Amino acid sequence: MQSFNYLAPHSQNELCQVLCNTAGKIIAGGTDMLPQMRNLKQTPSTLIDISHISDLRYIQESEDEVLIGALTTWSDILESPLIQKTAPALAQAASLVGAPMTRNRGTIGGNLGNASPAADSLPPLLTLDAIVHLNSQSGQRQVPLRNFLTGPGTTDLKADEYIQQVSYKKVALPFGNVFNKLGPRQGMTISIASVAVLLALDANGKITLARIALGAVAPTAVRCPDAEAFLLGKEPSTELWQEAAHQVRKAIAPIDDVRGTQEYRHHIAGILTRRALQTAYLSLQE
Amino acid sequence: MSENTLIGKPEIRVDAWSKVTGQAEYIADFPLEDVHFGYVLRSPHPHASIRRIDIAKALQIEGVLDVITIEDVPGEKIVGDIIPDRPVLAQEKVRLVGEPVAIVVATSKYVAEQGGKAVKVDYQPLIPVFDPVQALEEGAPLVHASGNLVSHIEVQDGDPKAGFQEADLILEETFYVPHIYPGYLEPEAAQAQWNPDGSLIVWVSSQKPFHDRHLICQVLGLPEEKVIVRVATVGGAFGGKEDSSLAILAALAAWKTKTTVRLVNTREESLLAHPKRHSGQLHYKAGFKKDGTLVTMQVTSYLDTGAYASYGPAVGQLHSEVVTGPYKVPNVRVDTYVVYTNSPIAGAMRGFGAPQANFAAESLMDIAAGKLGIHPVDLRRKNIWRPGDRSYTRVRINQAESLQLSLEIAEKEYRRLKEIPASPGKVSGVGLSLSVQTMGLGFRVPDDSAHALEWLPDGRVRLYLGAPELGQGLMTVAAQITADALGLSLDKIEIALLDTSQVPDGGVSCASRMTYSVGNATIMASRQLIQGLIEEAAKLLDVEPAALYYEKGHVVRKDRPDLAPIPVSEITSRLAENGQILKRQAVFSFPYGPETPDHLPIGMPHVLFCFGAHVIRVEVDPELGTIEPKEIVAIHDVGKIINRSTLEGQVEGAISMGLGYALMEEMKLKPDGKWVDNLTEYLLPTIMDMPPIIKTVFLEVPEESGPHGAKGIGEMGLTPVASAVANAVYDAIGVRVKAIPIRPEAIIKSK
Ligand SMILES: Cc1cc2nc3c(=O)[nH]c(=O)nc-3n(C[C@H](O)[C@H](O)[C@H](O)COP(=O)(O)OP(=O)(O)OC[C@H]3O[C@@H](n4cnc5c(N)ncnc54)[C@H](O)[C@@H]3O)c2cc1C
Repeated sequence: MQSFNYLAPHSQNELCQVLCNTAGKIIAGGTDMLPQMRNLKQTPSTLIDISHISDLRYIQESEDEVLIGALTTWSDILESPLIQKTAPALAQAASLVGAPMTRNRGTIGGNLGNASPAADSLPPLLTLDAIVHLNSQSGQRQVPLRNFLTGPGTTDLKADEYIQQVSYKKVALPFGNVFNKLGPRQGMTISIASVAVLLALDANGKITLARIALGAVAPTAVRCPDAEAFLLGKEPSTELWQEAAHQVRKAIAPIDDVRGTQEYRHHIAGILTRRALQTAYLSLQE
Repeated sequence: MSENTLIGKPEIRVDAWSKVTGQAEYIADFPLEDVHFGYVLRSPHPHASIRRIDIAKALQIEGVLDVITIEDVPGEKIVGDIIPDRPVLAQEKVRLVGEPVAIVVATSKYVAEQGGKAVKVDYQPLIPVFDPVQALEEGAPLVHASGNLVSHIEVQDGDPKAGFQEADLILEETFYVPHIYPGYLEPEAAQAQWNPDGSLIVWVSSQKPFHDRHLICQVLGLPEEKVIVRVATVGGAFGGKEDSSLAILAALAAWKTKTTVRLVNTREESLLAHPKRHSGQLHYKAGFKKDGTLVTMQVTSYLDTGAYASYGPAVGQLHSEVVTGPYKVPNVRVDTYVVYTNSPIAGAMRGFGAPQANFAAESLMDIAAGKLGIHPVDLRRKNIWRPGDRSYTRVRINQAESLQLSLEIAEKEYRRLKEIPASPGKVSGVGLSLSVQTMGLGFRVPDDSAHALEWLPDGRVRLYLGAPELGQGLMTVAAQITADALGLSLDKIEIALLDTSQVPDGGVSCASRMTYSVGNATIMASRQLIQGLIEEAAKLLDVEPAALYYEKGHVVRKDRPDLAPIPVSEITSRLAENGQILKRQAVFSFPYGPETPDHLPIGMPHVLFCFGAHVIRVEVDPELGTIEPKEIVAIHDVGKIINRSTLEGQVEGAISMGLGYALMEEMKLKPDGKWVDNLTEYLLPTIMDMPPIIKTVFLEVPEESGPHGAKGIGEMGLTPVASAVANAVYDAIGVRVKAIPIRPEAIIKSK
């Protein structure tokens, strides 16, 4: 148990002021924060509860972009037809987060803010080249997600900033976008390894777009540029996926923990990648 | 039995409504005035000596009433369930992480915790030992000065050495089983209220209120009439709540501070400090003839009971009685070593030594079947106990025919499941195992269960159940059996609060014996109650008792068929006016007859067995090594179904527990020297991990000593799960796992 001050701004303006004047810690759904406060990994002197800021919860589209407000929950995401169409891997990841209670409370902003290497929004968002929009008293800032993530649990967020939204450019249809996760059990499970791929082909069946991102196998969720470059211009085949999986294994740096060994993570990262590529490819054949 | 009997009906549980509407009172939110909160300061070390405990700073904190250490214990400082080896609070040294060292009592939880932080304990860390085999080696760190061996249990029948000479195939295998957590929803909790007359009321979440009372009195040096124990709603127990530690600490804290004190464990405390299932290493050596006949078996088990014995010696005994599985083996040698280590304490847990043995024995049967080229079903058929057979403990086997029946059904199910094709990319495998679970506490251990019935003035009947409902449905089946015996509807039975000053001693709710013992006792009490009613009615009516008989809530006059039957309430209300109570108590004593073999130590043998078989289909992902249970068929002989819903609930719940044991649960010591102590790292199966299809098949081969022929089911559903899963995995991909939980890594490595 700990004691702390509690502030609950009701608008983004108020939030900017609070962040500017107080060294506090943001709490949204609290599904990461509360367990961390309980085991004293977080001991904030001031807790800034943003859950009352109603205009941070939305899924919107412009002509070429999709914008997701920081307070959008996993349940919102998995039920959104727009997400299902423009980011099927993200919808899939959302459906696999925790259990219904976690999905009703947990937010995408919290998943980004917590920046666990195993966070399930990250691989799908990385395949979409997502941009994180940060806001503060001194103005807005946009950071590509891959630069936003700086280490296990650390980000580029400044003390006076908050995550306002995350956005991505719509990818021209058709494309395949698949998420694959393996945890130590079937329900309410944290990934031992996860992978998202995005794949598009030209009229001749050659690969024109290949993006691969993995979670839980490196200090941050990572893209695999070598494997992606290797795939471009080639024709899909089982051997090709196998080779890409091989490249992916070279790009990662997993660790041992209670959920899985380093060796096992290495092993399954390749398999999950190969399978995700094949599933994405098959989805394009439909 | 009348045709509208309640027996077998899937009656809704009598406690369902209060539980689903949140009215049930658990200790953590029990309405009680002026409660103080205790914080238990626990050892961060697995093994250390204590040089000094400094409580001065903590006592200065506003709101801290007192800090209690072992020095404050007025009575016995060291107690135990079987062996007195466990200091109430740490004395001179700590032997496990989580061992209670001091209790801080304060006006709020928060202040109590602050107080806990202010207590300074000067520890001198000692080298710990975590492996039961290493703990027995020369020069191993001594957990207790008396040595690390708690007990060595030996059972022998026939001539095992000669047996090996007869054998065509000799197998030697070692199996490993983990420490696991009972994983109830409600962590342990207790609260105690000191009264100005020096008496105490202690509310517990416990399986054994009378034993709690006994230990509390020992520790506080109080006579039993000064301590009342009441059982609050219990949120699951599974053996883990046969531990009195928290009840004793709450009583001590209330006694010392002369106030009311509540202790509620966090999940971390529950995981670290309260009893687990015994982990161990089981060495099997077995000899078979070419035709599959099992001729000899030698089993040496090392069970890790952790820092204190708890029920370890008894677990070791039961384990030693079932190591062969339900097979006739003429030559057997069993050596079970129950060993102290600095691991979390292991004690009673659903199955009580049998699940460990089952995993080994039933894996071994399949290994042997493979080596002998005999189908696993046929090998079992060849060796199962038959009517008239005796176990190697020389106990005659009851209902041995149900083994044959179970096996026949299992074989059909096995063949059916074998036909089901695997999902794309997966490999399907089917595994089968038989199981044996004993009932009761064992020969020469007091195994009585007393319960009482009172016919109230309004015609309803109050059942004074002497043993706690744990969530398993005991109150419901007890009410059903009672209502049936009295020819009343279920809503006419009410169940009294379990208060040790109000109800008779029903013993510990454990050992698959509650439906059996409670059912028998309530049937006996019902008969006596009816007899009492007739006697009292005869007096009131001024007739001979023989002129009256009882039927469905009424007394009928044989001599005056023209008169309407008299509702019981007319008689009991008249008695109440005269200040008379119509109440009868009956004791059921577990039937250890004169034929019970007496060559074994106290607590052995057990004389009643439950049998069953599980068949499971799993799908293995050969690349990822993951195992997905797809369908499980659980076949159990229950003697007689009392309530189908609670019965299915027991079996399905036990299956989920068994799957956890097979596939994921383990109290792991992490590389940083800490145990997993939360449910993010200690994984319990979720509903998503359950097979989509669970089929329960119940046999009703009556046990003549049981109520309506019923036997136990509380533990049995868990015992065969892990071996069935291991056998299915082997069937799927040819990998034989000899350690649970079965981790995907292990599957990949051995491929
Ligand atoms: C039972 C359970 C199961 C879970 N399962 C999964 C799973 O399967 N996959 C998965 O990825 N995660 C899982 N999680 C973790 C968690 O639910 C997710 O990470 C969730 O998205 C966190 O969102 P939140 O709103 O609850 O964040 P909070 O706990 O409120 O915050 C998390 C972090 O983000 C910061 N933060 C939150 N919002 C903002 C903002 N707008 N701007 C700046 N910083 C911010 C906070 O300061 C904090 O550091 C699980 C958690 C639980 C309890």
